[in-house]
Amino acid sequence: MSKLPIPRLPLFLLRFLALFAGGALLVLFWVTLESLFIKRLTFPYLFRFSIPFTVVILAGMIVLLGALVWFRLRRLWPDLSAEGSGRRRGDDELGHSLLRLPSELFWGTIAYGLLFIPVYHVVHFAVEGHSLLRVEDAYRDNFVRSFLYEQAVALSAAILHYAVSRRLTRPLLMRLTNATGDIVRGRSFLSMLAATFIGLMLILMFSILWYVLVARAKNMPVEFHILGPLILLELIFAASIFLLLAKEFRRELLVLIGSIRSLLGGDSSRLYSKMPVLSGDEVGQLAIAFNRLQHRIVKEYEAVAQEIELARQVQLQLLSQQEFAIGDYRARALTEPRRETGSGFYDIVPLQEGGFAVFAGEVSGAGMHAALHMSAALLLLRAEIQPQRSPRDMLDRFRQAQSDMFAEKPALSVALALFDPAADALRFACEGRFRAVLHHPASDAESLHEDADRLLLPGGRLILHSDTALRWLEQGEKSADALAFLDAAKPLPPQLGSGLDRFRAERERAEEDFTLLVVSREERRET
Amino acid sequence: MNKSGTTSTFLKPLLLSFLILLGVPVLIVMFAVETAGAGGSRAGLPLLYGLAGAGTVIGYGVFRQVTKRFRRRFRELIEGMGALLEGDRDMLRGRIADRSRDEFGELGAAFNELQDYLSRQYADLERELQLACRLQSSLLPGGYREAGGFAVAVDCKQTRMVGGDLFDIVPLGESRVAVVIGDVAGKGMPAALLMSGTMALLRRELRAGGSAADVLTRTNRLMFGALQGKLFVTVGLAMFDREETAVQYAGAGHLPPYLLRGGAVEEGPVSSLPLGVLPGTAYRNHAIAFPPDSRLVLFTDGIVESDGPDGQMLGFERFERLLGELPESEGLTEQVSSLMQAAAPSGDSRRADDRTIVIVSRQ
Repeated sequence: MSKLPIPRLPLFLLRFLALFAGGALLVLFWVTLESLFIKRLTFPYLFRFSIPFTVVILAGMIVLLGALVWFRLRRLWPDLSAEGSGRRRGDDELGHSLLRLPSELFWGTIAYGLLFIPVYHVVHFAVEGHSLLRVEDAYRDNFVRSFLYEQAVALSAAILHYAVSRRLTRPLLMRLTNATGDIVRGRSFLSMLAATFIGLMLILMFSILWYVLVARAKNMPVEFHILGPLILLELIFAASIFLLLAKEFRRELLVLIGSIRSLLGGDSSRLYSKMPVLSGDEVGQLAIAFNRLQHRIVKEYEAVAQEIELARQVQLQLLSQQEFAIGDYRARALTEPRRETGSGFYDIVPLQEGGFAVFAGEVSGAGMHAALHMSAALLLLRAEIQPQRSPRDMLDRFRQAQSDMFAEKPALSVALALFDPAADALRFACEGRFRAVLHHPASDAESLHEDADRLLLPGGRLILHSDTALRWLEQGEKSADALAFLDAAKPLPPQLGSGLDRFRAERERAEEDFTLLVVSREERRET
Repeated sequence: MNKSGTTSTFLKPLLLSFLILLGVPVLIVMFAVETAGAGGSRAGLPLLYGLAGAGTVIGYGVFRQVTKRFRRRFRELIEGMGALLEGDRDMLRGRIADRSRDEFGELGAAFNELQDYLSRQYADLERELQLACRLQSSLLPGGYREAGGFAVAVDCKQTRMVGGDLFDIVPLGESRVAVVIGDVAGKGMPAALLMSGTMALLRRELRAGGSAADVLTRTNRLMFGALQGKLFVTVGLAMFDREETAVQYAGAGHLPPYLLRGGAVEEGPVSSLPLGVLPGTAYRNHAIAFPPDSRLVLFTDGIVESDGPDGQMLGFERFERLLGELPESEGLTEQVSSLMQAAAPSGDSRRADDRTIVIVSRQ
């Protein structure tokens, strides 16, 4: 929704004054028409009292309604014109008093009519030199008819004020994030249409009957070339004021439709934005219902997203053993998920006599489904780590326990190494896409693709890695060397540098998580 | 799909009916004026007034009817959204049915498009949850089973798509069967993660052998290594042996089971700390006499703590009464489902917990 800059208050007020002037002209026009063609009075007669006094009364209306608008807007203005799209203080409150304004103007116009139409007639009566104590029947009837007709005219002016002021306040309301709360119980929009109908019907019927009545009283013929155009003019007026109202209503509906569609075009953060509540009637209720639903949907999905976040926390809890040091051995592990939850896992398990085992792996698949497998795999494999067993034995038992648990044994990659510091030895076993790189300062790095027993001398390193981790790090290097530089004595992420950043940026494309486990043995043995 | 260029607008019919209903009475009165005016008699006036009055009233009445149609369509739209609000998660993805080609239809269409867009946005998440749900259901096959000379009926309802309740029926040789029930602290996906791991470890340890207490003690040690006391799981483990008259039961922070015999309801032994709280917890075996005509009921706290259909928590007292009234003649599956029914959560499912019931009897 475009948010046009808000004009200064006096300028904005001028629009309302112009509206009320329009309403006043409308009243003057109909009343003069009534006097000229229905009551068959003459212009000179009207200029003596009727028109000047009517103008004074209408000027009073402009001033009073203008004051009402000024009074309402004055307090809202500083907040309304505040820059920034953030939720301002009391948006609902601002919205409420703005929403009420068109109705207030409607009733204000009606009330002004109720008050000043009798005043006009009483003053007119007195000015003509009649006694207010003795009112003749003809005058009384005339007064009642005039009052009803003129009140109907006032009603049409009130509708004009209502429809146009709704239009005028719309840009202000659209700036407010008037949201899910209850708002003033507005009348149905359709009762406004019904009021228009009844008001204009009354004007039409009165015009005809009165014309006939006056014609009879003055013994003048019913002239259809006068009455016909008069009625036609009134019908055209009826159609236009009705259209004015209904079109405003339609425009508000279109604003609502447009707002929904603009949500679709925007980025997902726009989904949180609210429909503007433009009125207290059906359109406003619709916007509120929509906002409530929107709120609920977003919350529902947020709950799912939050649950997944919590699941990741549980995973991290299971993977809390990230660092380990014993003697001159250091071990560090890292797994960076490619989705909200991870499928990679690792652990470092100390054994008796300074020995320890490390493993790192990845269950196939991604997301929640893989996460369920991952936690089971982690706990099961951890349970199988026992000193007397060979790495191959542990993996086989683990796979057995896994197939015992899941009807479909999940595809899985894992590498496991058992360290025996007393013999400088390591025993390695792997399955699937997990590999290891063995690095010695004196010689080239060696890739371990299958089960192997090796020596790990001071200064040596063993890096268990997923295929993905290698792929994202190697960048044209000979594969084994791409990982050989990693040192468990220092935190891993800084050492990985751009490789890890690239993975984070492109994680959606990765086939597995970025999982690494580094064991390094320090150069000089402590004595 | 509605394009603004091709849509009709509700304005036309509304304006047309407005003008017709306004114009026709006026024309009738005009016509009456013409005929009466020609006569020039004063007697025509009441007729004129009557006509004008009747025309106004009838015209107004019909116009109200026309506007009521629009009001109804509004109400349908608003109530349509309201109904989506009242419903559960799946209901939120509902559609608005107004297919007309005017603004109302367009509004409905725009709303539906937004719904589609939202579900597309979250389709991946939904699919993940579906897969996880399927995996979990395969781990927790409810229904009726026979193993080692015992009959077991289970029902497990996770509140969300996945949950933290677990049960397992592990046959141990020809005449023995272990029945596990457990509840991971928390709900939904985080609980489900631990649930699969706990189940895997328990099954492994059960296969490794030992008494119920041995299995729990070993599992606890393994769990503590991974959980460090920050997360925990309650477990009840009952070992049934056809050769024995009693059930061997060990509990880790889980609600005690109930033994049903005749109409009598007997509460089982209370248990010690949940798994994963302390590394060295030693669990104890309890013998529960299990004569041929008795049943053992294991359950999770969601059963007694969920708001029932009447909006009230089932609670232990009512649950025990229900257990006492369970007809022995019925099959185990029916008994389980009638208990489940009584604990079914009311409308607001967000406050409900995962619920599991297991009933075991000798075959």
